[in-house]
Amino acid sequence: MRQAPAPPSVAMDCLRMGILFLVVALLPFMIPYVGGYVGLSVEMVIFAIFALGFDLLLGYTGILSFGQAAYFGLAGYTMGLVCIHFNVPPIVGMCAGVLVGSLAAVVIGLLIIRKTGIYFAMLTIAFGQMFFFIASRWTDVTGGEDGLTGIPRNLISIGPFSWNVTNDLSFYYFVFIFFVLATLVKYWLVQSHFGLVLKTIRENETRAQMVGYNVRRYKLYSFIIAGIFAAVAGVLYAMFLRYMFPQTLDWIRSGNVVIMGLVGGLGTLFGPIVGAGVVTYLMNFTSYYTKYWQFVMGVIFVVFILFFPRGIWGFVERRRSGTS
Amino acid sequence: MIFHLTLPTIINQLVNGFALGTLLVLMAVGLTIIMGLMRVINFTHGVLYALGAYTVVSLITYTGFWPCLILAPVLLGLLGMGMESSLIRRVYARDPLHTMLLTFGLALMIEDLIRMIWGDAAYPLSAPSVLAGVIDLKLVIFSKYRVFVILFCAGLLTAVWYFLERTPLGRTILAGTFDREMVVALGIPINLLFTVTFGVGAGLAALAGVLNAPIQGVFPPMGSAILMPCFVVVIIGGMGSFWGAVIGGLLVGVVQSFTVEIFSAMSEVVVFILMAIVLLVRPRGIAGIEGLLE
Repeated sequence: MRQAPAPPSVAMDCLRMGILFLVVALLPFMIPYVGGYVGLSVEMVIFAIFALGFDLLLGYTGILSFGQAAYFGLAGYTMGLVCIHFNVPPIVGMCAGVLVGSLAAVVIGLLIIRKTGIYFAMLTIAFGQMFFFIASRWTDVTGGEDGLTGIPRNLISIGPFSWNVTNDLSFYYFVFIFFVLATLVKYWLVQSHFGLVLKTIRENETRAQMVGYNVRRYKLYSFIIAGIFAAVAGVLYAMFLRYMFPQTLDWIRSGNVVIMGLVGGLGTLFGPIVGAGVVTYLMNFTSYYTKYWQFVMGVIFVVFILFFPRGIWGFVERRRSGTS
Repeated sequence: MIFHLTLPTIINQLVNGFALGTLLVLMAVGLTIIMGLMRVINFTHGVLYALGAYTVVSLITYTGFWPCLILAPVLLGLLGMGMESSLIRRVYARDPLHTMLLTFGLALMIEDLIRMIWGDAAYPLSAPSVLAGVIDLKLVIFSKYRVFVILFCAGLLTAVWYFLERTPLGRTILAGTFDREMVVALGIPINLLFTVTFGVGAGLAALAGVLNAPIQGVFPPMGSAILMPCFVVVIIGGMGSFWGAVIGGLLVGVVQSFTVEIFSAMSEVVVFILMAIVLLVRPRGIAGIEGLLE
């Protein structure tokens, strides 16, 4: 392994995060200059939230889940169904969605956390696909292949405050709040004792066990937190599109998050955010020019694995610390 | 719903289930051996299966159906070996995760390549004329082709079993799934073993694709569609186990066929329920190897 560069100080990290938040806050105004539109920046930020949680799982704990889209999609569907059938305000639907998505992560996590490595990865894919098939076949409830339409996105009201997020730009800043929270929570988790234990598990699971940590429990927590992040991203996505479709739960979608993490740089503070932004942008860009965008994504992914396995951010950091 | 299950239907669904099941076994055996030996999920397994079916689409006018049963596995076995030795091998020194993600990327690419070459539309293929009809036993009627698929797969799987259990190369591969370090320590060129295993797995997947083409038709995402039941088969059967794949495959095939008959909307979900039950009762899978990836 490489020599770890001196850990940047908390003050330095705060500064970097401040710059990050500023850049992301201005994103909807900058994106038209690179051929994007406000809606694309909303998607980029939603997937950044998704990828942040995933990175905690793969980048920091070293467990690969290939089924994160299940919690993303399940939360989105739940949010939609609750709002449509019970006619409750979106905020209640959001809470219900996040709750159900996280609960699914808890149940499945409990069932499979004993497994490691590829066994674990395969189980996450399989359980993820179960939700995919339920969404595409239970037509009466989910709308089947046609998707679930009519998910509301209008007035968000908490107590005396209300905010109209019908417009894409105002919805962007609604998502931005969650993005800031997600980034801070992840930073805090990674810096905390909990985060250190996760890293220990990643580096040497046996040793973590020997030192006396309940490795399985820490892994489960990490899995659940990633599930919560995915669920939050999922409800925001459902609101953004006002529509959910089975492919949001598909393992290809789960794979996309893996790609985002790897392209951005796993186990870094900014990597998954950069990765989510770049990959979402590229997907949008290539699908505009060719219907074979999946091929282009595949090529990019293969190139990154072969030549830049540390991702964009890892590459940048390494250059700067001069250890390459 | 359940009242439709008369004896002829039951027998018919058993035949359908075994035809699907033996094909799944053919796929899963390669997958499970690769997992046991190389400790990676090979995501290209699905697209190799699809390419097998597309080989028939391209060659059938020149050669007819039968030579494809030889040509497809040979061609795609070679492609698999080429892919392993030129690309996948480069990342062995790293975390197994990278190998797995590399195959995922390759699978994405190849699926779209299939679309570029053969288009989005599905190709219906009919069974070769010798096997076109049905076997009419008055009480029950079998599709000749499905019976052929079952017999052919059974024969082939016996050959695979013989290869793994009775030939030195096969024994070495099996030994590798139990204790890879020891195999390396004994001076066996493990990279060669990997290439052979990958090639055999690719060939079997392609063959399954050829055999399934007249049953389910040929369409670009057919590979990712079959990959999921295969994963379930491997999990139910137990990773790295030949007999586990056989039992798991037949079980999934039969259960799925009966669910199609009884309650078709559940036919995909039911295999996952089966998987969850097996996991709860026997986390290692039916014939899982003790200590492997646990």
